[in-house]
Amino acid sequence: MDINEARQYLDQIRSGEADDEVSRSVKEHLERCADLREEAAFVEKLAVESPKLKMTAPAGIEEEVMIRITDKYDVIDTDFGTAHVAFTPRGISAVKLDVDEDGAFESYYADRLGRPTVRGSLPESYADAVRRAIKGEKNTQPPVTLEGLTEFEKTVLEHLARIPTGEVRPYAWLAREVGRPKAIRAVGTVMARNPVPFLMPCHRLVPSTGGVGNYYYGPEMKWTLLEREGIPREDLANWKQRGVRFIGSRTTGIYCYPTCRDARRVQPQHRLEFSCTEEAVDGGYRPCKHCRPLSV
Amino acid sequence: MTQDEGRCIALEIHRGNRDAVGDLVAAYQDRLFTYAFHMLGGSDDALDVTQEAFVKAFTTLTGKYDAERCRTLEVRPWLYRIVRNLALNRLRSRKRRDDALVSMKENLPAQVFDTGNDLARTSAIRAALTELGRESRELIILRYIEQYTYAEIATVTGSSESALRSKVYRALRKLRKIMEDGPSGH
Repeated sequence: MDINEARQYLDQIRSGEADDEVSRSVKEHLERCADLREEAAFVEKLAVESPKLKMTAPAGIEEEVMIRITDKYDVIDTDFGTAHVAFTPRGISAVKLDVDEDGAFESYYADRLGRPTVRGSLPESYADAVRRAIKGEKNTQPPVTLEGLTEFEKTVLEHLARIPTGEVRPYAWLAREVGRPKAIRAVGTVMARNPVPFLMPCHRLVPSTGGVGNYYYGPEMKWTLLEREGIPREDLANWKQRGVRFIGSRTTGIYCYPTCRDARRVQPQHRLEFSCTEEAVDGGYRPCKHCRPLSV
Repeated sequence: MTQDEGRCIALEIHRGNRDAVGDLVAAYQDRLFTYAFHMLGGSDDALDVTQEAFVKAFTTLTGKYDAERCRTLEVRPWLYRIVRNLALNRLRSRKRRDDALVSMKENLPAQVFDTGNDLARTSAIRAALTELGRESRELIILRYIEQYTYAEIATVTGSSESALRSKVYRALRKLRKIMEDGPSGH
């Protein structure tokens, strides 16, 4: 070890971080070199004095941090009237139409997500995302946060969000997608309690037998939302009435859910209707890989 | 706060316990503020950055990290890294990396220092620190005020331990020279 290297180790010797061999080698240098001893004395002095430079943070940091991490909400106008929209730094955490008073929204929020929310100012992009979803416009990556929900709720809602705009799927289909094929009723409950409707498109989930089924804000709003996304209400009613659950294409030999984008481009002369998957499979058709129809 | 306690708090915060954020602030606000103050050379900015760092820690723990990541997190150096990144961003965005020294002298409120009994000597170190460059100052703070090991400094700044050894050594020489030569009289 040369003298310069020894200098670099002075500080580690002081704190006891250097190993024995290094310590011994540096001590040899120390005995020989007065300059090095002076440097060591400086290091020692600095180590004693420096901790006294510690500062005390100004008061009020905790309060400020708590305010900043508390979820905020704001009230905005939409096509369906005023909406309370809550958000965190990570995204929108709740959207609610049927409360008139801030207090009612605050207690709903605390109940549903287990944390408080206070009035704040909604970023314009979030307000825009809610309005667009309500208008039925495509929202590829809704700015949503699911913090505070159970793991099951998160999984179900994340899979729900993969249903494209303008398409619907049965509740049982989503139950299968999340790997819990029997949990159809549980999936329904998640939909009913969905804190971010419109953005997490629970209106795109319908009964296997057709029609639109139930909706938290009433079936009429569900019909309207789906119509805005491009699914004619007559079509849904008509399929239900005639028991049409799948559409097949004679040219590709594939069958889909009727609203699947692949089913929609089938020319009328090549179009077949099925009421169950058995019928399709017997005819030599295979399920679509986009909408992955459930066997019934 | 020990490493294990730090991890427990991180996990609590991850699970959505907002009171744990208060514990985290109480445990680390003085150190992080000291660090930010010396990085930025000003009390107002240091306060901002300290607050922002805790908010960032919260959003990262709740939004980005899974429970396993929180369970193995080394909380203390991690918090320093957050402060460091925020402080560097701020220095960059205001393009005043070079002016930090000047503004530090202008903004230096003597009462925020806990001067103890050795007023004269600690204030000599403090004055000398303001004349060091940002990087050297940071290393002196981490090593001598916070009494970090080289391994810990390495996780905060991203340098290797051997590089740190010579950097710390150079910073010490510079500091000693400044202290022995007396104030440069800016």
